[in-house]
Amino acid sequence: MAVTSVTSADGKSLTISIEGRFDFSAHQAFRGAYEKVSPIPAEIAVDMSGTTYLDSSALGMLLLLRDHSGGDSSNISLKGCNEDIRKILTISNFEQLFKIH
Amino acid sequence: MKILIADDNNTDRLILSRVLENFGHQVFQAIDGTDAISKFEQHAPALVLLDVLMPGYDGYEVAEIIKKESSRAWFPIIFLTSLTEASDLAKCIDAGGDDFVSKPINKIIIKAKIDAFERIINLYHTVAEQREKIQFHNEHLIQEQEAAKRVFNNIAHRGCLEANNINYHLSPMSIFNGDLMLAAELPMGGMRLMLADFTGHGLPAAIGALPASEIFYGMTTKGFSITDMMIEMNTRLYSVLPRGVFCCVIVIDIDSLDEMLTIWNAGAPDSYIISQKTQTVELIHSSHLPLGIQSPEKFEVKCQSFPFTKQHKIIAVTDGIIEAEDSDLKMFGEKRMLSCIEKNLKSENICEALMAEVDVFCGTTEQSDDLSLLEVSFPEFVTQDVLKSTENKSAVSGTSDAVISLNLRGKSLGNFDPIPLFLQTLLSCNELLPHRARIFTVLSELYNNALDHGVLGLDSAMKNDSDGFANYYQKRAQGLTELDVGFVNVSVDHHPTATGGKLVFDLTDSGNGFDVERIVKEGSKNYSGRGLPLLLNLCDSIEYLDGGKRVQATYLWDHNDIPE
Repeated sequence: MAVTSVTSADGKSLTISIEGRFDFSAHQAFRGAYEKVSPIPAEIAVDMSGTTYLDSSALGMLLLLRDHSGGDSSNISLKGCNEDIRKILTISNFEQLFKIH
Repeated sequence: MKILIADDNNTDRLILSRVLENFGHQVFQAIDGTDAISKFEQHAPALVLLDVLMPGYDGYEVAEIIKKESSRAWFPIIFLTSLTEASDLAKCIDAGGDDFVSKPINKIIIKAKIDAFERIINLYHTVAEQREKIQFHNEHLIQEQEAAKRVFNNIAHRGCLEANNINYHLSPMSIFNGDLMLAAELPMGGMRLMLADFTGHGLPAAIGALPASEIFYGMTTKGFSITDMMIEMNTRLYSVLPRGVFCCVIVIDIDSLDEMLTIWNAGAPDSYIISQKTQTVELIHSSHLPLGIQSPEKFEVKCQSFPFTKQHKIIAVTDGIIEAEDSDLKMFGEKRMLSCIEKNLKSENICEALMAEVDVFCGTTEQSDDLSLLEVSFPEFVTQDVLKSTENKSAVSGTSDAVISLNLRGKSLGNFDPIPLFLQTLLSCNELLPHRARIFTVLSELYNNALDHGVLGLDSAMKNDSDGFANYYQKRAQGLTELDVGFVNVSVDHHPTATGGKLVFDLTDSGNGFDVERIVKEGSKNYSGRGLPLLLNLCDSIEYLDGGKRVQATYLWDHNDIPE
């Protein structure tokens, strides 16, 4: 598991990428990736094209990110989700809270 | 530090002893191998210096014996040797030694080695101490969890999960994995079941189980619908749980009177409704965010209904089963799940078959304790003998002489379920408690008839086949959301009699009424499914007035005649 984050040059968007398994072991790194950026950019993308697995604690972490970036007014997209991950997100109906690509 | 020196050469031994004593160590001397073993036991030195060549036991043998037989914490052995062959030196380490020093012994080198080993010994003691502390804390934690488990199990008890129409698998420590399985009988016959999976592990995962089960048992006995109960549960969990912790849930009502199953799946894996008659499996997908995420204003419950008879079964699981892994980290998965169910369609105990399959799949991989599986068949219709034995026999109390009435209009008909309100108010009269199930049944049958056939004008003949059944409930749900005219007036008159009381239910609706005479003559077969015969059975009299727009039902109860 490796979490990396990049803020765009204009500071308006933040991309967090997760490589490997996205589970509780990513907790500190994932939180660090957005808490160190201040102010938090309006647009956030979570790049999961390198993510192999997602569990329910990862769903919880995504909710924390959503809360941190304004809750209902947040703008978060989940990108590059493979079929298994998309399935987990769909079961939980997370498309109501995030843009899933 | 206590040091044991074993050397059969007196001069060498005495010189080395003196040297080490000068460095501040406490030295014990052994004159040969046998003496070394007994002095070791006697003085428990922290470090042992062994001459390799000694009469009796040689150094290698002594090292092996004291390392093997000593139950003491780790201690280093340094060999003293005049041998210089590499293989001889290697043998020192093989025999259990930790280092060697060449003879004749150099004062500075032996001091340096002893100092280095002293540091390692200290480190070892620190680690051992810490390990003991951790072990103590760990034992303490396990004890606390055991105590907490007992408390949790009392509150989040399993209700009627042991009923013979239920098979399930649930680990005893599952609550600390966030899995919760609850079952309660519905007041009007049938059962409500809930399978919940909180995110996380340990106490944080278990905390949410307390409000959830309290709400489950509290609201189910009072006759609240799944919708009302889940709204309450979400509101509570939303305020109690920290952001990021949530609860996936499947809740199921089996109405054994109407032979109907109502289900709501929020964030859990598919549930499976099995028809043994048609040998088919229907999948019920999750249709909502899990509980505790959506604010109460945005939260919405849309249940699905299906016919459910003795030929049916429902299976619900949490993601622990789907995600059970084999040694290659491959998951059990939904495909395997479905094919296993299809293979065992006719089995009495599909739960057992599934668990066996998961066992085989996982092989030697250790299974986690969040494998929860619930299999429910049709519950026999039994009117509950609630509180019969513990019932309070005090004088006629509460609303024993009262009229309770409520007029619902327009949107309120779709938004509000008046049955729990009536039931709770009526049951403030303790003597009615044993009659609760009957009163609930009578009241909800009458009210649903007024709403479905009166206000909404639905024809129950629709329910005769399974397509029509789904259609009926879809039309009903749609009708209720669109409703903005119409009314149902409900009034219940309770007054005491010499030996008990008399309840008169009086309901009027805004519908067009119906041909009362014809319906009653036709043996009431075609009217409101199984409703009318049941009402006639439970009530002392039923009378339709105003061309079917109004109904009056009388229920007499007696202190000396408690329902079975």
